Order: sequence, then C-alpha cells, then structure tokens
Amino acid sequence: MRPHQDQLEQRLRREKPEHAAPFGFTERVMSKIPSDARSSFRSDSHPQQLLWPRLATAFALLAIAAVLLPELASQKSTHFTSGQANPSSSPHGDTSTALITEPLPLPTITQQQFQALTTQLDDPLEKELNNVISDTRIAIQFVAANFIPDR
Amino acid sequence: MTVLDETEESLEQLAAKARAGCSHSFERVVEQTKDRLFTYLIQLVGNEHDAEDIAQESFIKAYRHLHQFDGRARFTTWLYTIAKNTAFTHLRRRKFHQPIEELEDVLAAESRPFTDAADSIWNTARQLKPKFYETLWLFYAEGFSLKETAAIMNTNAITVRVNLHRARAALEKKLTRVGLQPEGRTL
Repeated sequence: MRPHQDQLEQRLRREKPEHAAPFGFTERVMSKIPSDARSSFRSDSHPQQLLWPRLATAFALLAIAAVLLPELASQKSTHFTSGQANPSSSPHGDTSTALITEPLPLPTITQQQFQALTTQLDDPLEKELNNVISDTRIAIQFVAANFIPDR
Repeated sequence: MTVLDETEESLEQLAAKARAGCSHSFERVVEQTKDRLFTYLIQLVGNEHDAEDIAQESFIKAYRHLHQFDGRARFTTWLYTIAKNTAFTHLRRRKFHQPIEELEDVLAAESRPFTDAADSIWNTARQLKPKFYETLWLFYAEGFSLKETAAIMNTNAITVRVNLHRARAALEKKLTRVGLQPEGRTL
C-alpha cells in the first residue's frame, strides 16, 4: 500500500497544472493601488489606530479622577478636623480657625462652561455611536437588498 | 514554488518594504506570486475570468491590509487566505440566493475539468469532495505545510491530516476505477 501512496504523492506534486496570469496583470493591479488603495490604506489604519487610544486615555483619566478626587477631598477634611481638634500644635493659635473660615481659592465654573466641557467629552462617543448606527443601517439595507427574494 | 536566489529578497522582506511605502517592492511581490495565485484561483472558481478578477482584488486587499501582516506566518499563506475569502465573497455576490454552507459545493460544481493529459490525476481528483480536493491541492501542488494548509482552510492541522489521508484513499480508489494506476500506468 505504501509504495502506491508514495507514487501517488509524487504524481500529485509533479503533474500539477500551471497557468500564467494574463498579460499586463501586474500593471493593472499597480494602476489601481496608488489612486484607490493607498489613500484608504492611510484612512483605514489611522482612525482605528488613533481613535481608540484617545478614547481609552480619556476614560482612564476620568476613572483616575473619579478615584482620586474623593480621596483627596477626604484627606483635606481630616486635615482640617485634626487642625481644629489640636490648635496648640500650631505655633500661631488662631491659624487653624483661619484655614476653616477662609474660603478656598477655587475657580468658579459657570453652567455654560460645564455644559461645553460635557459636550466636548461626549462628542467622540456620540460620533462613534452615529457611525455604528449608520453602519448597521447600511448592513441591514444590504442584506435586505441581496438576500430577501423578490417574490 | 518560487526559488529565491541568495541575493533576492524574500516575499516577507518585500512585504515589509511595501508596508513602509515602497510600491516597487509590492510590484515585485505581485510579479513573484501572481501565477501561483492565479492557478490556485482557477482550481477554486473554475474559470480564468473570475480568477483574474479575484486575484486582482486579493492583491489590492493585501496591499490595503499590509499593516496587519505580522510576519508570524509566511506571506503566501496570508495571501492565499485573503484570496480564498475574496473568492467566497465574489461568489456570494453572484449567487446570493445560495446558502453560505453550499458555497464549497458551488465552487466545485463551477470548476471545469482540464483537458491536458498531464492534468488527468487532478481531473480525477476533482471528482472528490471539494474539501478533499482543496486539501490535496494546497498540500501537494502548492507545497504548503499541514499547519499552513490548515490556516488557509480555516481549520486545524489534525483535520488536514485526516482529510489528506481520506483524500488519498478516495483518489486511489477512483484512479483504479477509471483504469489508471496511481503510479501513472494504464491498466
């Protein structure tokens, strides 16, 4: 059985049909590349490569801020309370009271500024969502046009 | 299989250069692989016209997605996988009423037998199940390894090994039935 198989394998390797690509094939492929593919090679790879890291960075920053801000706030409040409880620890007896009574120099944010910031943060997500909706709509139309029989 | 001189760059090296923006390197990739790919596509779709369209589309797709070629597999394996998927898409576009599962059979049914006497063993092989024929073609005619054949056929190496064994047995039986011995002599 084995010699038969070896001969069969040899024949399969030796007798394979060969065809040459039509004349001018390479030129036809290359003529399509600079105008068509090269531009989309850039546009295909870049948005995907750039948009997701940006979104990921934005989310990471937001997450860090969400974790750190309450912690910082609680640290400040404990600092103030301990200062108030032990006023003698300070060389000037009334400074702790001054720390509590004086308002912190925080910048005031108007409602318009806050809304603008929210819109700016939501913008990439909204765009992405619109793209997904649009792609889904096109896909459904394509499927409906091609796969549902006319009858 | 294309034999490369020592001075000649491999397809992987040319692909890397093309990815960096050298279109001349990609032209050399096309030059070196077009005949092989064209022959494979003729086996798959059965006519030169479709094979040419699919080959052209495959090369353009390969260029567009060169940044996805990570060099872990051989360039030809990657290119053949693109070509096979393109062939399926091409056929699906034409035969949209056909369920996707039947496409393998459609590919086989569309293929016409070759008339050259030298092709007779492959003509007989064409009567086998499409997946057997394709496995034989990729492994013996194209010289891909079990792993590479599996990658192109989107399966695993064990399945390819089993399919090869079954395909050889079936082919041997068919050759004996049509009066041709596996070693090439007529009974």
